[in-house]
Amino acid sequence: MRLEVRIGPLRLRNPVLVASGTAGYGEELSQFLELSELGAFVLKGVSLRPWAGNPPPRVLQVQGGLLNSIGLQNVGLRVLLEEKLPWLRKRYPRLPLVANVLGTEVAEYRELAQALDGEVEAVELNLSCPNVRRGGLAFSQDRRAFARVIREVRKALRQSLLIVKLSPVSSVREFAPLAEASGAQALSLINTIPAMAVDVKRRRPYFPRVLAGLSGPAIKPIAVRMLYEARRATGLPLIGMGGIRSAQDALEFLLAGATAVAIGTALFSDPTTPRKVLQGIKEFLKEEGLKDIGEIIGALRV
Amino acid sequence: MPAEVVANRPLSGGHFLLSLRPKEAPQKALPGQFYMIGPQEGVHKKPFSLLRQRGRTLQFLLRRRGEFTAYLGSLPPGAVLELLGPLGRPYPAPPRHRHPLVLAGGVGIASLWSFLQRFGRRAVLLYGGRDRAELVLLSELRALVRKLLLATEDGSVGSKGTVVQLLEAFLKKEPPGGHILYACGPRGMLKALQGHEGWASFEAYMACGTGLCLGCALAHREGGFVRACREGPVFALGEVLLNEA
Repeated sequence: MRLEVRIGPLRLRNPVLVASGTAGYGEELSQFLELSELGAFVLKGVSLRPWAGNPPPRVLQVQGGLLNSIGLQNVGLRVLLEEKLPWLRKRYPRLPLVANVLGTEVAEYRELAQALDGEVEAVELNLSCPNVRRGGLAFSQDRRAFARVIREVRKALRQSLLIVKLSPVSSVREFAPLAEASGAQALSLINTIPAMAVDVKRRRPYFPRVLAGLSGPAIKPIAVRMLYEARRATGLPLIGMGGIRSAQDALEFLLAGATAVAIGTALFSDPTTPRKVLQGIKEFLKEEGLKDIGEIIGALRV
Repeated sequence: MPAEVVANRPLSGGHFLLSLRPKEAPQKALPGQFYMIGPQEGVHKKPFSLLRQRGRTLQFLLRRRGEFTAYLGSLPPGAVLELLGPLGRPYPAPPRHRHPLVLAGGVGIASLWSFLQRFGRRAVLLYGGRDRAELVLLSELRALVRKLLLATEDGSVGSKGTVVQLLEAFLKKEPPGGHILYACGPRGMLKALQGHEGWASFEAYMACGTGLCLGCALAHREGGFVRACREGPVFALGEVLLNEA
């Protein structure tokens, strides 16, 4: 059975990845899951300098999902290059790595891309985090800024593939083709959905920053819809994510046109989810008498 | 891993003893470690200190606080839950020449129980709650420790007042320097202990328990945040800042 997929020139041994920001830099997850079982490892978002993140509370479990306001806490570019990447490379020499980058200005994104080019197989641009004051979402709502940051980053990348992560807040039909025209080589979607919770006793927003990102099963149908829209709006390879916790969920994305899928929030309740999802995909292919995962990708009958 | 409820015994004050038998033999836990527990097929798990391990059975002492603990308290034997653990950094063993002075506030006793099983013969336990009903399993505790002192806010048993007041009174009569603190309880209690030498287990809202989500951040005295689930839940007193958290 053939499970290998290709995201542009990048070959992945299977289509199951982890979503950025839900598996750190691999050290913790590796205690529960053999990382080489993954199609690729997507690192937690990194900025030029370390970010401390938001003060607590940072997470809230809600019906069918999770709200987070982590604030992109990360170790910064230098520690990523000097400690985190070498750790992963040494243990998993054949595992493709995707660095997720974040900043507040175009110049920061460019500098990150220059530094990471060739160090990782792909760079994923995070232009849509709801949990930081500047940058973040702004880039994914302004067409000109969006196109410019993608163009600049693409120019800085000679070896690594450029993946652009799309926001669920903006129109995929509008921004997916724009990303493609600006130099994106693949798209990933969706990021968390801006959301909010209220502490009724204190009559305050639950999170100090008021808004938080919603992830988990609750957002899956929205994510599948956006993936489907993106499939019809662009020819780029798509990486689908949003609430995937079973093979069934993953297959929905694959059929709707995703070349690969990423597991995020489900890792929090069960860090072995990617293994179970991949196993379930294999079983499905077998049951359906299929020999190649490619026969499923985009095979939706509409 | 799936685990079957083998017993679920109600105790006073909304507490209950939940006994679970995992399908696979559980790893041996260290004192102060915790498990993430949730319904099978559920989206969420929450962290609970392991009270003690008896062969393959894991026992948890819980108190009804919200929907989730009410659900766990309602489960009959035979029900199946999902477990992840043991997790977290345990209490360090006390140095040979120091006596553990153990402070438990309410259901915080759960985190300290297995520590007392190991070092209780050298330990004095100060255990407090709002009232008599909040102090549970007293006869078992008495058998575990060198000395047990109780405090209740309404004075229904032991000294009237908090565990912290009980500690102050206790230290007045004891020579200084011989003790090292081990504590678990509400934030207010841990905050009052910050100047002492010893260790405490800190509670924080957790989504994963494994260090992945960065949700259970506690402000560290040297700046930045640490994770209660990974760098903790046990920290040296004074190491994490409680006013900012």
